[in-house]
Amino acid sequence: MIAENFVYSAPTSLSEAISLLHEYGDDAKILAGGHSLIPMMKLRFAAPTHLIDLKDIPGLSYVREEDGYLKIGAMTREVEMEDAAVVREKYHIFGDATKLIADPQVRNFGTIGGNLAHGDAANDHPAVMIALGAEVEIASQDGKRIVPIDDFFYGFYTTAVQHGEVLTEIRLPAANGRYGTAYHKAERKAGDYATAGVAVMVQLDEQGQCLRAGIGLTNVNPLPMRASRSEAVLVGSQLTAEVIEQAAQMASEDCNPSADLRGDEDYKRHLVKVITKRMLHQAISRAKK
Amino acid sequence: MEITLTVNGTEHTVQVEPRTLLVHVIRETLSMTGTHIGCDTSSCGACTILVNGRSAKSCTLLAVQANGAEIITVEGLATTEGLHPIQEGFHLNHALHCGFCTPGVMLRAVELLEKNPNPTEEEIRWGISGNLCRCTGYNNIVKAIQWASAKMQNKELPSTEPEFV
Amino acid sequence: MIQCKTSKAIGGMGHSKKRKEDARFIQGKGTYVDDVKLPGMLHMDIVRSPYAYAKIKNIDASKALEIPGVIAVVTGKDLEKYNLHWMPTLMSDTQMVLPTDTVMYQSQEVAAVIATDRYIARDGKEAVRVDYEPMTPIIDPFESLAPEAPVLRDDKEGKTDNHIWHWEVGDKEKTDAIFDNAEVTISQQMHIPRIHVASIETCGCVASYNKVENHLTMYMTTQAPHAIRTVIALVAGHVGLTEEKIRVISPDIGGGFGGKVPVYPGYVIAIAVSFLTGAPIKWIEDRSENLQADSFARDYHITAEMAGTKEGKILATRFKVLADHGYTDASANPSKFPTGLFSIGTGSYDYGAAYMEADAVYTNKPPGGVAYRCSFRVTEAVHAIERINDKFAKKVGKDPAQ
Repeated sequence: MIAENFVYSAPTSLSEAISLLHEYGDDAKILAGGHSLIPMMKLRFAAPTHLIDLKDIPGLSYVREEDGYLKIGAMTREVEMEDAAVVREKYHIFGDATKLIADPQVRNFGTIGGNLAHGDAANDHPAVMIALGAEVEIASQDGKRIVPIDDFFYGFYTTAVQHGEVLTEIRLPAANGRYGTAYHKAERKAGDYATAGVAVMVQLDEQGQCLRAGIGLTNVNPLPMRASRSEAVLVGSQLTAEVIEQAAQMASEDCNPSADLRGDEDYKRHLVKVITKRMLHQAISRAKK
Repeated sequence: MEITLTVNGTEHTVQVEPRTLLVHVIRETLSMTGTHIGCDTSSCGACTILVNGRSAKSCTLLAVQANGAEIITVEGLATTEGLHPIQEGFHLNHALHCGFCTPGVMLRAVELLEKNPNPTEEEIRWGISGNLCRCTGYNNIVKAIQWASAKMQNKELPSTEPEFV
Repeated sequence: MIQCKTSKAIGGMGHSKKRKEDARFIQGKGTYVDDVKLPGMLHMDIVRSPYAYAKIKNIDASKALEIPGVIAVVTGKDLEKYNLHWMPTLMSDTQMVLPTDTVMYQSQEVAAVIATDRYIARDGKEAVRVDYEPMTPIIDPFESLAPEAPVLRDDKEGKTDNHIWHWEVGDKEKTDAIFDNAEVTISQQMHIPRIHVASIETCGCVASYNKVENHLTMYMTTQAPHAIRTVIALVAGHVGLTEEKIRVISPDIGGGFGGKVPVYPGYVIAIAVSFLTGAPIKWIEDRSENLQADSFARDYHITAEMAGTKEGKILATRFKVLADHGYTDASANPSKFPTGLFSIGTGSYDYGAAYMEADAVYTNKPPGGVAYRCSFRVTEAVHAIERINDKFAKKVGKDPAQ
């Protein structure tokens, strides 16, 4: 499998990358690891005329807590996320999720920013970021703007990142107090896209009442999806088995899975319910530790 | 475009098209055919090499992305001292049949053992989840990696004799 | 306790033998077919049909031939001039090398692009324009047998339906009599779907014809070099390539599982082009081509029945099988059905009588019924017999193991 030819550039600054995007027009694509884009090009599903590789731009790869946020540079590789001490200590959801994304070799090169900007509801980070209430920083010639994750995904392979723009950072409210997160997806084999996946974040007060909750769903909706009704049931409640059951039930009702080789609609709804329940229990037990 | 790669310690400057895949430079331009192409879509891991110490699927990397990189392929595992412990482990534990996936699995295992010198069986299985063996010799592949782990740490070597059930 | 292990000094029983071929495999020194590189070698890529059943109206190669490095585009019409456009299968059926007018399955080979390297060959493939007139394909073997179904193999003189062969074995009369009088009978329909062997190395070859010595050397990833040599001679004997002038070298092979027994059109095209140009031709299929167009295993619709007593004694079994063999019958051995289906189907239980029949049928698919890991209809028979045994046991209220 061999891609169509294209022009390759590896700019060394963000401004240079942005001006190249303007110069080359609509058919230019950003290369941020390439483990989704290059297979598509080899299959000739995609044929960009220009590839702009962000790998040589310094300062786009980091994971750190700062100003009440966990900030993740767009070019942070999955493996760097997996290995980051702060993530291992406080944001268990990334350990859950990255282990299930493709395989170690792909995670050595695939980036968090690339995973989001690809705009595929089958990817895992979108649901994780929805659950965590992330914001995305996008740079253009006019400076930087911040887009809440709920406004980020436009459609199949399209996101808020417009032509001439580069996704530079993902930030999420820092873990604080009794905070727990968890992610799991059902997959047919190691490294597969999700049959269904659920990301959960909860924050509890000292009495165990839920202060904040986030639930994101993978690959059971045309767009990465927030289970809003489920979240509303959780916030302000004691997270009893009944409340969890109710939230899980709502998530399974509110998603819109389509039947495919991975399973029919009923099966996927059932998975959403079961995994939501399990992840809520997991996140709560992590929050209480 | 002109790029420079250091492959198994030797520097090569080669001309490539932007679309040229790293695996094709290694196999065709540099004639090192130990790195294989299985699935062509970064699923099977037969093309796994080390790029700056990280295991990578060379069928999904453009050669230009690896410009300036240090690359290790299967041809670079053995030294004048002898075979790499992972190579010995594969041979002694019958961890290969047709041999097509073997170079990729071994290079993946080398990085795995570098990061985690004493992995559990589960960690090994997750660690090689990006490598397919269609002869399905996974049990012995796991044993081979355990054997190499012991050898690299100068620990007592596990038996390589067959088990009777 | 039995000591089933000899001492270490003696070796042998209970001691593992170390393989001699490992030395090259673990050091990256194996020679698989894509590792073969010959001086002056050209590369071939294959244009494939997006339709499962279509008339070819026109093939325009002009744009492809404008690409620097593209040497030739070969079509069925070109091969027809040398009578190389059809070849026999291992079941004495016929199969197209390249079609002259009709494609019979999705991803069928339509034209071959020859170029100086594989990237250019791939670009050439993209630039070949083929006009098709799509027709409605038959992909269901039951529909294929319907009286109103169009005759798919209209290339065969006098062919009036899509039936390939009928085979039966056992005592029909006795079996039917037991079923007619049995206290308990059960029936189960099952479909054992197509599967692909997906060996980790795809198929491919380097065909190298030496004009001076009139000798062909074929490097190929094949499990059946001798049978392949015979087939090549059957196809190309009339242009001078008789068996003694062909050498098939099967180097290290990245898995076969039965999928590397058949002769694929790509091999024959590579030979033809090497014969015409005198240059070695390398053809290595990619994974998409491998999964879409190579031979498949199974695709059997089985109706299996069992008769017995209320107490659970099994008396007889009856199988009716419909085998979807795609557009050509290319399975590997005609003795498969009696050896596998009947022997295995009747081997595990004590039957008073058994009868089995099978029919093979053409559809618009790539060849099916090629062996995969001890297939020889063994897997199908075991699956069917155990499933009806379970169903029978359930009906008479017994444990299937009894």
